[in-house]
Amino acid sequence: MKRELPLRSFFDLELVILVILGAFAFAFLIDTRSYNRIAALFPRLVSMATLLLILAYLVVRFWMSLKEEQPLEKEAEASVKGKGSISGHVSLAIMIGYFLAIFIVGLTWASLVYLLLVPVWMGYRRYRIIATTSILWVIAFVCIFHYVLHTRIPQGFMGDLYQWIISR
Amino acid sequence: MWLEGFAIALQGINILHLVMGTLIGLLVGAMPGLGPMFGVSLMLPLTFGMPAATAIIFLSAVHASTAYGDSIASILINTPGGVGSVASCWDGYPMAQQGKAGTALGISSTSSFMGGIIGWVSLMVISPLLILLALKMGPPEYFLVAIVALSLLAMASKGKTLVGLALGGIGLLLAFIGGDPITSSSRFTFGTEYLEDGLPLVPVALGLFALSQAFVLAEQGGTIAQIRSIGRIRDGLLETFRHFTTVIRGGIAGIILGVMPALGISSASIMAYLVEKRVSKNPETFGTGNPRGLIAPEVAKNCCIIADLIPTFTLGIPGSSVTALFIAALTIHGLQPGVKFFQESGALPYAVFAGILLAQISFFVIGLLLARYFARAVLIPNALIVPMIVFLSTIGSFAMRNRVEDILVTILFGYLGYLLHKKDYPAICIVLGLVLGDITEANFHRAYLIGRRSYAIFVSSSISIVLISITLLSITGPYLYRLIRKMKKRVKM
Repeated sequence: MKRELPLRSFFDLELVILVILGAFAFAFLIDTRSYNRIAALFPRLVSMATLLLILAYLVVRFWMSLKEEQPLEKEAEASVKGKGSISGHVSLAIMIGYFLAIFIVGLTWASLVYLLLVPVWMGYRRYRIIATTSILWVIAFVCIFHYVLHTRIPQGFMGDLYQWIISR
Repeated sequence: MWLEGFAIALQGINILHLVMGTLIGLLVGAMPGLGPMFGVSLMLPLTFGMPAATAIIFLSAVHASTAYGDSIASILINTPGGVGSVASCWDGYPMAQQGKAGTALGISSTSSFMGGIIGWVSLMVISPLLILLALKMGPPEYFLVAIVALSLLAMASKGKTLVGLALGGIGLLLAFIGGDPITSSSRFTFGTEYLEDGLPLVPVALGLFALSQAFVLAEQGGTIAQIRSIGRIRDGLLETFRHFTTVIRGGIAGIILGVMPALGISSASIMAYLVEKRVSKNPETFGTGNPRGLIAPEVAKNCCIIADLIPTFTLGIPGSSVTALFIAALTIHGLQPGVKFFQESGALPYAVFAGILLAQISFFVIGLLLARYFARAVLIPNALIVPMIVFLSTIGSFAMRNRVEDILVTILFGYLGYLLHKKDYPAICIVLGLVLGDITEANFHRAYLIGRRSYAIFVSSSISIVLISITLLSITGPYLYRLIRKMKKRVKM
């Protein structure tokens, strides 16, 4: 099995996450300067404690990365992937696309398209099942949320335009 | 009085509402991210026209079965409906992956039922004693109980205690967004109108629990169960009876934490899990599909839910946000919770208590009957499950406040949850911090002001000292444990 160089294991995704979380806590600490004493006291204590904990963990990690070699994680992860897998970044991009589609065509149509396309993207080829489940799920949940729970389902730009045309 | 109470609870109309409440609760609970709070608040308006006993029986059935339904999603797709079901994932999901989803659901139904029965007995018998203890606790003790809950969770974060605590801190910081609980001044909104009311809990929890799991399952491909089997539900039932001491330990954790207002459900199941792991001769098997790791949190959770009702009915102090809705239901029907409820309502309190017991039986029977069908979810390809989770998370996060921005919050926290999952970081610590933020800060300030701006108040009572000791022990515990094991090895060599 391949081994990483001692310090290389320190600079990975974990470091990025910790730096982001640390920056987040630091931003809160800085922001407490603009509040009154009572409003700032507890957030200041918590953000300082959080920063200290992150720093302590970074020190421990750095020390561990100097001490021992670690196997490459990517190889371990690759072995558990099954048929039709898609990476997290692609999933995120599709979800952002779904979110934007809600603004354009509304939740109902965006959801229907999403439920029809994603299984195909993930390699599932039983189209009749995909079509049946997608249509039933969308109809069932949109009806429950709209008629039973009285939720205002977003119509999107197209829906608003359609309503405007009908009202004229 | 008891016979009269049972006679009222067993009337046809009440039994019908009991079954309806159970089915609705199971459906709501099984949906990722939707827990007892959502189920009970959703059903409360429907009870306005019902008689008082029917309304409380109906809500009790929804409450108990939603909590059980939460565990279905935890076990089958590793997605807890709320903080109370997190510990059920740790051994329940590995069981589902090993082709024992049916067995795990059998364990869950039976353990939840037994937890409910233990909780019900405690509600009847030992509630006055526990209330005396709860009444001795003030703001410093409540602040410390919240810290204990956070530290216990960090302890459960599989060797990453520092990160668990840091994530708890991040959760607390997120809870500070919006109005300050003492002065009501606006904080950490960074000029955004959306953040004025604070960061909404449901979209954040849906993102971290449900959507993050969609990312993971999409990346995994295939199906959840690595073996095409679901195991036997009967095995789960028998397994629970075989571990009777685990049931008792989980019950005790549930009762003790359930009686503490506002904190029980978040820490009872985790506490029970940790205790069980600590007393086990094979702690290394926990997290890999050990039935005891599922029995303990399930018993504790349901026991805690019933124990939550002790301060609610006897003192009129809600044990949790869900039981606050029970107080609302009682008030709507012209009843006053507290001593008067027992003195002036005739057989009604007994009918309510009988209804709570029947609700446990109802979800147990219906849950066992439906478990076989629920368990088949693990055999459905991830290609079909992933878009359904995303769709449900989207509509669920939007429905609470009718704001499209909440969907974006869910997506962002979903991706954060996915990144945390990749590094085995406990995302639950963020949610627990977010849930406990307000209580922690408000009690901190109250204690600080009562103690005339001195921190000495936090160590002034024996309860505080016990709580501080538990916190220190839970933070240093994993390190001490490793140190002791190393020393033992050296001695043997």
